[in-house]
Amino acid sequence: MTGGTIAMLIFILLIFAFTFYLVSKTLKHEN
Amino acid sequence: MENMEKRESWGSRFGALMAMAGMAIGLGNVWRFPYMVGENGGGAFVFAYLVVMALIVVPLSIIEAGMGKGVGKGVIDTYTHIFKNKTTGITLGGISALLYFAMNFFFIAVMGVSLYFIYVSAVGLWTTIPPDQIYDHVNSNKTVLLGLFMVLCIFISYVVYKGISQGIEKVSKFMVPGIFVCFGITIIYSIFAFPNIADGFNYYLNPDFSKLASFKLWLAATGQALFSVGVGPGCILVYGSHLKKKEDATLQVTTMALVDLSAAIIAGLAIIPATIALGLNPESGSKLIFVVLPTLFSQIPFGNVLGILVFTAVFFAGITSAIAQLEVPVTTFMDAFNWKRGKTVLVFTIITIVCSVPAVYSDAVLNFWSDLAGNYGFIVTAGIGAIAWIYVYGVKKIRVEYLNPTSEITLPTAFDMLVKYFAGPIMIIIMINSLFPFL
Repeated sequence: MTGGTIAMLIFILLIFAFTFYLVSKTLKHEN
Repeated sequence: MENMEKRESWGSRFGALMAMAGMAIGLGNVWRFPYMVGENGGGAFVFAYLVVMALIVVPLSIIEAGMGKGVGKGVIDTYTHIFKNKTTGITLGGISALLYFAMNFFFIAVMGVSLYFIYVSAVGLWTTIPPDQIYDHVNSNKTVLLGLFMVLCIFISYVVYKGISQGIEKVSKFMVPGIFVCFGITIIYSIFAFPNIADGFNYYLNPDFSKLASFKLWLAATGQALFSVGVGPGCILVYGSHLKKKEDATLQVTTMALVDLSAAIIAGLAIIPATIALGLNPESGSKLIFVVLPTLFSQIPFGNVLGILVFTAVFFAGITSAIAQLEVPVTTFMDAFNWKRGKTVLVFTIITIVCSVPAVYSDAVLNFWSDLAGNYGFIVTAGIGAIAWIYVYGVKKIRVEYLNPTSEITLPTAFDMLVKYFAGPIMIIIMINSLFPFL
């Protein structure tokens, strides 16, 4: 796997982590 | 205004988020986005897509959801409110809602085929029929496809009949996470099952940043993002109209766009690397799903299980969008003409059956509906919608009155400039270019 691919996989994991953070933020405010 | 109290709202924030994500996540995430990533510089396309999402698609979606939340009505009433004229409202709103609804005339038939492919995977039909001929075999079995169409049509109608919180929300809370689970298991299996999976990952993701200089890459990323999230024709507006007044539409829509992007990336990770690792050519559109994937599953151990997972994910992605495509006209006509939900659903279900059955039997009819509603109709109504809420109603009013008071994210004045002078014009140019290519 190239360095670029690994870097992109890390970038994608960051996107997923941010998405998860926003989803959990939504859940946190659940009544 | 007297029936405002009776109007349904989402039962929970998570439910609203899953319903919005279910509306946005559709076949484009599965059969178009992964192909475009592979063809347009891998990671560079994902990067461009994120930029386009942040600067164009999310701001426009926030405005549409804010408009929906503020007016709290369907598409006809919203246009009437904007133009202060009932005839204009009925004309523009009615056309928008009906053209969006008309996508179901081909969509449910395609969903029937994908449901059939779950069965194809379960019985391993590729052991008796060459995998590249399975689609033709399935497509020739019209009686079964008609039966599947009817089952799906009744299912979708029942979900919409049950309403916002008891129908759409419940189904979305199950199906949207289901998409991620099915694709997630497929990715994990692929990593361990294919010795040369790294080649597939390189094809899919290795960034070629020189392609960021290509105008066509940005054009492709913008078009894909706008279509995927579904900005303009009124779906975000209607789903936003069911948000409670105290809800944070800005946060909900931003999260929805990221969940939509994550679903597209995950679908690509599940499909493209494995396809490349087996030396197959990743195609776009229905050919990827119904020809390339059965060929892939026929060549690997546990192909049946993987087939069931992937086609289930495709089915979930499609069906939640089909539900939105029925809910938008149902809400719109209920609000505009004070119809009861049951009666409205029945009327639109009958129209669906009348218009879709010929599409089950004829590819020409299917392509006609696909072109009319999925292509031209979407583009025209999305353009009209964007002009109406951005330039006629006004971004500032939506931001100040409907969005900021109940949001954790305070949108600044610069947001108005971004939408009016950048995101809005680009969307309109992209839509015109889709109809009459000039770029």
